[in-house]
Amino acid sequence: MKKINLYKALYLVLLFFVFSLSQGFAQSDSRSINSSGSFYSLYGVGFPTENNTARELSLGISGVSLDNTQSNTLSNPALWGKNTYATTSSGFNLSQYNATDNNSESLNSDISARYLQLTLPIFRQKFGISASLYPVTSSNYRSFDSGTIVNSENESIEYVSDMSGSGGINKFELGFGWNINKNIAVGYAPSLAFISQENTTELFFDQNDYPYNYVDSKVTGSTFSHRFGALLSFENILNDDDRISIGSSFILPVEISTKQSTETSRMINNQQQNVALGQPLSGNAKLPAELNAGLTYYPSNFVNISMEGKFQQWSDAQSDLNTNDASLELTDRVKLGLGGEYHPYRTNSMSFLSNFRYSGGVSYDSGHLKAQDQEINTLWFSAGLGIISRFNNSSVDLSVQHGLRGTTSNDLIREKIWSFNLSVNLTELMFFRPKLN
Amino acid sequence: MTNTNKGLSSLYITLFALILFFNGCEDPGNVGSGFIDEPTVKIDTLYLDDITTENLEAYSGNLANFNIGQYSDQLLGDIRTVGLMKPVLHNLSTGSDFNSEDFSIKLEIQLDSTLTYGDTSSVSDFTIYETSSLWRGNSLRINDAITYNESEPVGSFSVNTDKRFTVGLSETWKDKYATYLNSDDANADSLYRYEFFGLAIVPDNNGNKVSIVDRPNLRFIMVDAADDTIGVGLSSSGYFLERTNSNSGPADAIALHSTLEQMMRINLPMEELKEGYNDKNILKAELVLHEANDVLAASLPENHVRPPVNELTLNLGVNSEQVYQYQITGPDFVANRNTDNPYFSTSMTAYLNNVFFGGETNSNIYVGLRSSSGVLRSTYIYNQTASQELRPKLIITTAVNEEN
Repeated sequence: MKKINLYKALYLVLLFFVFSLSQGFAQSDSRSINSSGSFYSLYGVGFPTENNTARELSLGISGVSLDNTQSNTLSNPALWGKNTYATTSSGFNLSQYNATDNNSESLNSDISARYLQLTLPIFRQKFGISASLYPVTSSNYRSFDSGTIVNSENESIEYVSDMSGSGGINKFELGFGWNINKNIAVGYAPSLAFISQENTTELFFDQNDYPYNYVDSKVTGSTFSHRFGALLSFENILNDDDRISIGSSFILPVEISTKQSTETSRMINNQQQNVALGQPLSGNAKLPAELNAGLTYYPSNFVNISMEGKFQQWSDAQSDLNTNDASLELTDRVKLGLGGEYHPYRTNSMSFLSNFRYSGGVSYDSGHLKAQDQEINTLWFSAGLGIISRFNNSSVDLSVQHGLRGTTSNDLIREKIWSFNLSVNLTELMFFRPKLN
Repeated sequence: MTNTNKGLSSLYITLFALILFFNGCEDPGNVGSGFIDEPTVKIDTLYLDDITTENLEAYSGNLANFNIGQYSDQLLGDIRTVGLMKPVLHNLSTGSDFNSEDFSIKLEIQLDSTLTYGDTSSVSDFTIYETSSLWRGNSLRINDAITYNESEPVGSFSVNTDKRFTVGLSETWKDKYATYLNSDDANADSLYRYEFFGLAIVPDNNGNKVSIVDRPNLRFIMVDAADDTIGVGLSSSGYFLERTNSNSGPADAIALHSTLEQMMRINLPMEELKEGYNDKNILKAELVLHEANDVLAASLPENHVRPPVNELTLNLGVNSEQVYQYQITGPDFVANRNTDNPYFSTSMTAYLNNVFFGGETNSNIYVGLRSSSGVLRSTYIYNQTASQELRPKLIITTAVNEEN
């Protein structure tokens, strides 16, 4: 019993440490920290975020068909009806983006908390509910440029601009999953989708006559969103131990009414004050319809193989925020993933390497952007490690992904991405059943 | 610790190290600058055409300097200044050896070592008279014509190239001063203040330059029969000025004088500014005023000089009640002379911020030559009728995103 509490305490400390660190970085002033990601996240409402567990990411899939009764997931509401344990989970991401074009190179890094989810089995493996907070899109770019102006005294004044963006669209979601029978499960999850995006432009001059200048542009707005899920499960397909799961989820498109305000700092009546530049602008931001579908085959209790796909209709998501550059435009996004897992911890072996779950996968993402008729696609290679408690079903999943995004041809940008993900699942932490003496 | 626990501990340490390592690795560059709406810096020039003049009177008493002499300036008119001074009533201490019944009195004058206004080669003669009306240094203004008794000169001196003079003063005036000096009347101080008016240094008609007296180094010296000396400082000093034929300058420029006889009043186009820049990201706003330095320089014959003007002083509104604040306390803005070009400029960024966000409604900028020292200075600033490059202008630098 003491060992069990020790592990849970360790998980809790780790979870709160990393979550606090991530939130701290996310909420800090963007002018003072290193926290930037993909350059392509500058466009519109940001780059679509993968809200998968580290386990799902290591498989290269969305996870809609990954039938799992022991840990929770955001991928398919239908899976919440199959949960055995009350579970709290959170995911964290640490990514490094090495971007190059034909002229220059930059290195950006980003650490962020991805999601926070609580699932409760109201009726064990029959009906469960979920509450979660997670990002849908993320904008966290940063770019420098320089220029020269000639002032009234015919002097050349050099300046550097530092443009960065942070935030995106997030969802607070409440939903349920219903495991109708051993073959069919369905789920529904309404959510409040809210946008909170900030784009900052800073200017630095080489003359004291021109002071440091910054302008913050903030976009806010919210609306309701709806997500549906279904899971079909069948056993004894090719032998007595195998089974297959076929899962799907669908998200309805939404349009968010936005308000954009621009703010800067000025010395007014000898006091530094924040002031609004102009009146707030009203507009809209669209999130596209999304369909996820896939299957996972379990040949035995030790191995599973998944193949899944995602479709997002970004071509129908043009909005007022997509004005950054006419040379970028939205396009429909298709993502295909293939991965497998091996579960040696189920063998009861005492060797150290048998304590983990191993996974690997590959995926292709056509991307939601195209420039000069060329899609900004990404090829991902991923691998992962799961640490499963021998005393309960709490787990820590780690994954590493390497992505190749875009191209340098046609004056475009190529990004090499290293991404590390951590998911922590705490099961039944709040629901101890006291042992009888 | 079991092997499993050791392995888990290693994983956590590795994870933490990765966080530190990756977060430290950031080198954002200009990758993709072609795809992003980088801000550009834009410079607008707003020519100011609502410009008039304002005529005020500067304070001229009890400043660090006062002016004496006369000069015919081709551009700025014929100037005649009369210096005023009044010694303090010296308090002879009990037991003093100084013989206050038998002494003479002299005036020691120190001129500014570098500044002269006019023909430096000319010789100016001055006569010192007793003033015949009451004046007070703290309230003296440049147009206060103080009368003096020309029938009874108190002393005289000439200014050539020397900067320091000692002038003997008349016995009659000395005796008058001695009356108060030796008085046992309890009201002697008060009587001295109201009945003894001081001296005026009046230029004779032969000179063609204005000399600048250094008040801190001007004193009266009393010398008794035993050659004991006492230095006596000033209780008040000042000058008044007469200027005639002053309309001889260029028509497209406005004369500014440190006497505030004339100032430039610029009425800023507030509506145009609000409509055009209220929602703009203003980096800098600068008021530029060009000096008619070519005309000024061409009007000076050989050996003639004017005290230089290195800055213009600007205020948001000045009336006769506000002259003291403007002249003595300090102006709202100072426009400094550009080191290479003949113009003055001052930042108006804070002012525009106050207009747009701080409720400032005053649109009148008064441009003048504040002189807290008393040195006579003048210049010409081009007005709205000058050629475009010389007109008063507001240069506004903004940062603009291409999408704007």
